[in-house]
Amino acid sequence: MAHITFIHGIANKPPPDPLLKLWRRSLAQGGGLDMGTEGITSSMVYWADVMYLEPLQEEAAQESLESVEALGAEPVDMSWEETTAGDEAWEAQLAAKLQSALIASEAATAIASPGEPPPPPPPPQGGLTQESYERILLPWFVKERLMKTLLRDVHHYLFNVQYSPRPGASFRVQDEIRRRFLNAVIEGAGKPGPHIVVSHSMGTVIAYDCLKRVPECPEVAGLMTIGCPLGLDEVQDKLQPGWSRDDGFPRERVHGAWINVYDRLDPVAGFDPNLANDYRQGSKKVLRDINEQNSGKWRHNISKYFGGTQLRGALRELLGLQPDLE
Amino acid sequence: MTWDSADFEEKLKAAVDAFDKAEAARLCDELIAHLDRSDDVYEEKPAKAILGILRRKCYFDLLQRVADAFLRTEQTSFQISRQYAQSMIDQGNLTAAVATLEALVQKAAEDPEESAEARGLLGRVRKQQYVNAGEPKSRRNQRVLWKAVEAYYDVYKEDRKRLWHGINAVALLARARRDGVEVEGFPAPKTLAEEILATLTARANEGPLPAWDLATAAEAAVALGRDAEALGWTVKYIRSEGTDAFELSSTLRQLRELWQLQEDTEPGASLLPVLRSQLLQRQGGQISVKATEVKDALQEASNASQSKTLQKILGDTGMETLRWYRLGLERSLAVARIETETEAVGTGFMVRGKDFNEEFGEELLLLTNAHVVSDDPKVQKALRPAEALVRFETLDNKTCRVTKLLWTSSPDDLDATLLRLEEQPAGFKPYPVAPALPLPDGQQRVYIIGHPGGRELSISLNDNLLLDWQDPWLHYRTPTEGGSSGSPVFNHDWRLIGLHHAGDLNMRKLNGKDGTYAANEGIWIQTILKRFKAEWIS
Repeated sequence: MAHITFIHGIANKPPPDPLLKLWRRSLAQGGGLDMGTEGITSSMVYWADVMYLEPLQEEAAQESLESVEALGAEPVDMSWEETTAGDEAWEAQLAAKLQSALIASEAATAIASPGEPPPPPPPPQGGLTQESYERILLPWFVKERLMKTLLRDVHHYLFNVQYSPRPGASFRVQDEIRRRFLNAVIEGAGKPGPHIVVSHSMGTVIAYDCLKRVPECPEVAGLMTIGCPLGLDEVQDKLQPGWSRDDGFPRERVHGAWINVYDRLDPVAGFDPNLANDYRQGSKKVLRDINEQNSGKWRHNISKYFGGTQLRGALRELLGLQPDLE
Repeated sequence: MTWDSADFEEKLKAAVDAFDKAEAARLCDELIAHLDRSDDVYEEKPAKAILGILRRKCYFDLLQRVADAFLRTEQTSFQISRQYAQSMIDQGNLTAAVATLEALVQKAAEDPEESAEARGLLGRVRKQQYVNAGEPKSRRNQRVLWKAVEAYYDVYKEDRKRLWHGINAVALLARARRDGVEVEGFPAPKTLAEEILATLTARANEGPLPAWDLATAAEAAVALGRDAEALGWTVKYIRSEGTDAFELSSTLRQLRELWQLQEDTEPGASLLPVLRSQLLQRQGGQISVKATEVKDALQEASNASQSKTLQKILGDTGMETLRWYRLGLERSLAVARIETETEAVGTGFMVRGKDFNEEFGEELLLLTNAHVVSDDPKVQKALRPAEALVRFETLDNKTCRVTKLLWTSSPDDLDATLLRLEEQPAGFKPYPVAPALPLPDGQQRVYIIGHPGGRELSISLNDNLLLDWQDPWLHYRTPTEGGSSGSPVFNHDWRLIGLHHAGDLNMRKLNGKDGTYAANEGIWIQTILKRFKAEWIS
């Protein structure tokens, strides 16, 4: 027996149970890792409700894993930007990096897709102007949402913002999500067999933060980060005290391996996808980075990552399972 | 007490979905008792729904009893009479079915829909009779074949929209040609097949076809020798929402028995492995392969799983299912029958010696139940090792004697015996042992490979629902007759998880839960391995 604590990433999600089922199904598909068959239990650290009014409908659940459009069409409320005294420079730098990663990924995708329009010239660095979005292959509103959603989620978590996603509910974002993560990991620690954390997107920041910086967090046997923005300096800066380049590995609570899986064209991970150099243990590189190429224009979604052969092999390894039959 | 038909339906569906035939039978008894006591006629719609639930999981005996009770309450629905007849056909009671159907044809003369269905079923009885007989030279069988064609074709001639009648006429006419039986007075099978396929192609242009239409189109393409097209329709058919284990079994039966498709030539080489692999993946699926044909089926599944044409049409998921099916067939090579000179006693299977103890290395040993083979005088019914003959029907019927009983755990303990054979059967590939059991979440399926009922010369791969487990026991339920004692139990990845040893209609539930249920029981292989290691003295 083994146990996985999953934690999801940016954007709204279906309710916790359907979301967990979708993740398990994505991992099992096409002869993958069938957790039910292997006797592996799991739980999902669910935090979408901390940021969103209500969960996605269940029928939209599959799409939410597979399509960038699931980021939604309605505008993201960015009024918080005006009230974040002192964070403007941080936010502008992060926005610029995310944007250039997105442009680079789209340009490379376009080159790899004959018949489609040629890649656009890179836009000016810095601001999120509408002019720059319009040159991009993906619809501008999609890109805008991605940028804004990621910026907001990262910002609100790292700055522990008080946020009200709906009337009657208000959270200190970091406190609340840390609490949920801790509860899930404590529950996982009580299960027999190895217990590992598998995180995606913004969930990797949360997992790292808790495993490195929250003393009450129990130990785990392994960590997997997928499509992870932890390579960004702006994120690393806000994970101090705790993080340092020479001692960034969360050795305090991760006893086994940390495996980081990325697609170079995933805009969330793309700016600095390799983490081994930034999260050393006693100055040594111990973290394993895996470059797993997904398909299509939108490389960040979890179901594509979960279909990857290298990811599946690495996950088996973290769980101490026999290799795949063939 | 008032009868809540919606509640009854829900309970019956839950029991049937959980393969709980004992509970389904109890519920049906309750319904029959209610029907017999009541003055009311059961409403037609819920009555049909109940029969539909039973039919979908092939519980024909229950279907017949319930339909019979509905009819006794003066329920006059033609469809219920027809389903009653159909349940008899499916149980091989052909004569009784004919009597019911002939009466129905007369009664339903004014109802073209029901009359056509009943006449079609009369055709089906004749078709089954002809196929079962397997003797085309017999004049009686030739008459039966003619009657079957007539029953189907006449309905189709009157209304060209009735395609299942038409396609059966095609299949029978083509079969008559292959068997050298002259059946005059009907169009050429290819002419009819062309017509049917044209109708279906036109319908397909208007919207998605239901499952049976897709199967009909595949059959028509088979009749026309258009193999690639047959495969294309078959793939649409297996992907159709309406296609479940029942439908796939019927299609496979038609293609094997009537069309006589073989796995070594097209179109059977592609269609049969695809359909079989899909069938085994569906809830309640069961594949039965003659033991002597397992090697061929394995070879064909292996070819199919490497076919580029199939890859193109089936896609990654379909190919994965094929490869998965091939692994299942491969596992069946490990299964042997344990017998005496005169009778079959149980099943056993090869295991890798080093899984039990490193000192055995690559040696293959045989694991079976202690109630099948034991040297303990207290286990009176078991064979003594010297009496046991181990027959690998799937490996060219190779037989071996037992040279040594290495270890045994009594039937009321782990019910396991490990045997050394006089020689190592060739052609068997070792397989992995699962380190953990599947989750007991009511969703997991396990697969038993055995000789159904311990008598037939065939290997059966059964889909089972894992009910619960508590070291060392696993409880699971199969929709069909269970494998015999000593069969291996595999997880969905075809890793060994247990040794099947018993089945009971009143099995005590595990983990301190109250009551009993109908279940099969296996012993967890890791517990057997642990115990062996603790007790083994080299």
